[in-house]
Amino acid sequence: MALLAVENLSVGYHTRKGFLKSVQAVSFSLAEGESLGLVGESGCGKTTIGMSLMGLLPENAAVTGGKILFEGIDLLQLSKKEIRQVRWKKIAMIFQAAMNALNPVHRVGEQIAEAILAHDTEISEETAMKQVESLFQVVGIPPDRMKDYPHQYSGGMKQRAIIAMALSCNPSLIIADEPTTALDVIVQDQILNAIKDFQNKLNVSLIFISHDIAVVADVCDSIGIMFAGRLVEYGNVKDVFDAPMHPYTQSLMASYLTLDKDIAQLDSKPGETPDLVNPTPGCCFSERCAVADAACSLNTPEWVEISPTHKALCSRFK
Amino acid sequence: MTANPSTQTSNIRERPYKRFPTIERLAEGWAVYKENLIGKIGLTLLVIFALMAVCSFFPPLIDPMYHPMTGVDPLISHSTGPSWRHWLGTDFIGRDILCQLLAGARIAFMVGISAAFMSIFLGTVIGMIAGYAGKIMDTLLMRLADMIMVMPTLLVVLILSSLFGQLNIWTIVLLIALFRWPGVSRVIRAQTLSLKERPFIEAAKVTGASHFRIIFRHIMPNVLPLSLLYMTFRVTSAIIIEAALAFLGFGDPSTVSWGMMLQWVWKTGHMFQAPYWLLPPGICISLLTLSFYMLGRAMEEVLDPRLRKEVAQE
Amino acid sequence: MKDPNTVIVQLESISKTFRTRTSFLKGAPKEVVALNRVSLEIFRGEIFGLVGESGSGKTTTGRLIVKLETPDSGKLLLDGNDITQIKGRNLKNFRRKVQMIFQDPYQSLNPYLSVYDSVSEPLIVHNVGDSKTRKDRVWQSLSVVGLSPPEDFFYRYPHQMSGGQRQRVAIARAMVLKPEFVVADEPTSMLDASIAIHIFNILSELRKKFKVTFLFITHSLAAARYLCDRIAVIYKGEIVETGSAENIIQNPQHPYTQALIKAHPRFRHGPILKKYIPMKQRR
Repeated sequence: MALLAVENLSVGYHTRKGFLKSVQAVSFSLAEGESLGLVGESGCGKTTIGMSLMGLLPENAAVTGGKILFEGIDLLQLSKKEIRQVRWKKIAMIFQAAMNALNPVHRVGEQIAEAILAHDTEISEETAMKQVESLFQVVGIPPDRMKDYPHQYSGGMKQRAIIAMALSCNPSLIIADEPTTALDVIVQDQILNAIKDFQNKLNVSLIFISHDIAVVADVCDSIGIMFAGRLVEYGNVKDVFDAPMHPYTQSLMASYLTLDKDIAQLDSKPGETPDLVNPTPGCCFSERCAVADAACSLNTPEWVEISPTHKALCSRFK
Repeated sequence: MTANPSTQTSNIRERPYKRFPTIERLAEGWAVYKENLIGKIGLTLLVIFALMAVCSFFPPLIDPMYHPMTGVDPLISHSTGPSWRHWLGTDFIGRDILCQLLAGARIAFMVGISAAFMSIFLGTVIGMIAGYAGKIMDTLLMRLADMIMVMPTLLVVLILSSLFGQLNIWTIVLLIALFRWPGVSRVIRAQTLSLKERPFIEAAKVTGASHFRIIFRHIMPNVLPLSLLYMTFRVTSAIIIEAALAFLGFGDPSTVSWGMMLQWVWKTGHMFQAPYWLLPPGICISLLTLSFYMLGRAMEEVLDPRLRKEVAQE
Repeated sequence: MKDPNTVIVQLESISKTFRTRTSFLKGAPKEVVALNRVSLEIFRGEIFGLVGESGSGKTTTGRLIVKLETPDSGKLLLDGNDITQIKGRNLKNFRRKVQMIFQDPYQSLNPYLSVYDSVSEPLIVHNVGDSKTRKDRVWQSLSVVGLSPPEDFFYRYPHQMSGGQRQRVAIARAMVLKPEFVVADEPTSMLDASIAIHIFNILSELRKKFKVTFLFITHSLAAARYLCDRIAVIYKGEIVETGSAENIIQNPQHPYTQALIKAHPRFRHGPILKKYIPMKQRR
């Protein structure tokens, strides 16, 4: 049984301008120890999915459909109290620019120990600190830095401390929302290696949310490309990268600058961000698509299976 | 683009300025404001008082005996309770209390808003200059502000009026403004300090704009909402100061304000005998200041998006 | 028409140190050496990349060139003239020639000014033309950055536009005076990758059309490789390597450059896309 199965999840926000359909009918699954990357531009809904999984949606958000089956239980049906049992203990989250989440007036080691003690009231403080030490080893921080304050840490170290905090309660799933966006390339490389490391050692499942497709390619087994609240391509990283099917995926690949290949000419026109309150009929990408035809703006596309481990939501590829 | 820019731009001159940020923001702000209960109560009260102020012109036109200062009822020459002729009764020489109350509303608005406006004007300009210039200018201005802030406004005005005799209402307004600007200037200075580092101000510097231009064209619009917010708080203090001065006998004897009415009640010994005379002005002072305060609090929520209950997410 | 091989901007042994105030948790005021004897030569008409990580001093370099900061020592030259200490009228004239595009499009436009107001501001400050000429120039500037039809954008406000559009307005504002040299400080780091490419293409077009020289500051070697003719790598306030873009990437000499290249994420499985235009043809 898959550890996590999201079925037809739809989430929106009540705003002054109307009901913003942030996530529409998204389905994916995650096995134990597997890592999935969710990639898309800002506003595509990937962060909302992360928040829904953690039960951290703000007050004006509304889940309009679907299920989130975690270890067989639908998280959306749980009460606030029951969610708190799951949150942090079984599912942990690393937020964007999380290094600002450290309290500047407490020592780092103590803060993480506090998180451990908050969720497990039976162990002693010493045991908690020992656990922090071993966690620091996993993420690569020298244990003698436990007594330091956050401002004495570099950006990369703070991020590692946050990862340690997320790992502290032995979750089976970690959701990382843009964990390396605010970091320099060299530090980012180290953090990604640390993530790959702990994933292997602890067999933790990972959902890696990012707008950076190359980072996801580096870390994840499967990838889901999102646009305007919908999942438009989904599959094995190797399959998707070898043969990207959806025009949006292709334009993402084309616009990503790397050092090891020449740049191909862009196909898509620069688009406005899609309107999530009144989505255009038909395919969500049709306005920006280079190969869209008249039918694309009228009919919603169906999933096309290119292989058992690769599918795309496009009516132009049959 | 092969179109000639001149032909295109000549059409623009006729095109009206649509969607000013001010108007759009006002509309958006109003939508947020509407949901705030305190704001609605405050605004309702304010509207009532404003109507009172406007209506203050009518009674004397109906019958000269309703004039707040000079209107004397030929039939009554002492304080009487509410009756059909005088809905709230009469004061010690037979003048209609309701008319005085209405006139008082007018004075309260006038004094409150003028004094507030002047102190905000001074405070904003001084705050912006201090925040932007920094160093010596900043220190000088802020120490000046500190000195003035420390002085008890009421006491100083009392002393001044006892030295120079009875003060004209406008002099009182000016004095209130002169003593109340420091509070605003501190806040505006803080805001300016943080704005100074923002990229769009740096962009203006790189463009070559003079300091004057940066302050008044770039910083001021960003600081005005805060100024307006503080204006509402200044109004409350201005009204109370004027009322206190009048009550203590240092107001302008030719204007009828609520504080003046309270002074007459007290001076003529009707404090405990004429509740219909004592209570209305007191209640009005409290309610009007409260309503401005509520307005200010609700506006705070409009102006500071962080205080809003709704959060739009990505 | 000036000789394209002349040096337009030159930094000679520039040093800059920042002294930070103390917070109550630390002791004495700290000194941060942002730039340590940095020397650079930028040729007229080229797009020069300055690549470094945060804290390397790259942003400080840009700010020094547009004179938002003054160096503690060293000389800054524009077209051979020493501009290190200019003030007053000379400074104002300098500002007509040297402009900047800022990193954060969400903060570099005054929220209370319309697009027209923001882009015409440089014209007003330098007393260029009258109201009619200004409108034309703003129109031209907006259409050159791809905001079309320009008249639709005249009266829009920043909050009504996306990040990519805002950045284009910022570019239009920087270009409206037809400057000779523009510092682009990480102009795309706050934008999505697909928008970033469009911005790069705009900068490339501007260079071709107006013969303006760009200093492109970035933390991404890949972006610098895409856009720039020459690159300098900066680390902890010192230039560690300079050279043509291709050379730096193919033959990095300095260990830091090598580390940067190694750490850059690569596609494990590189796709081969159908349309393919080698970089040289796009100049």
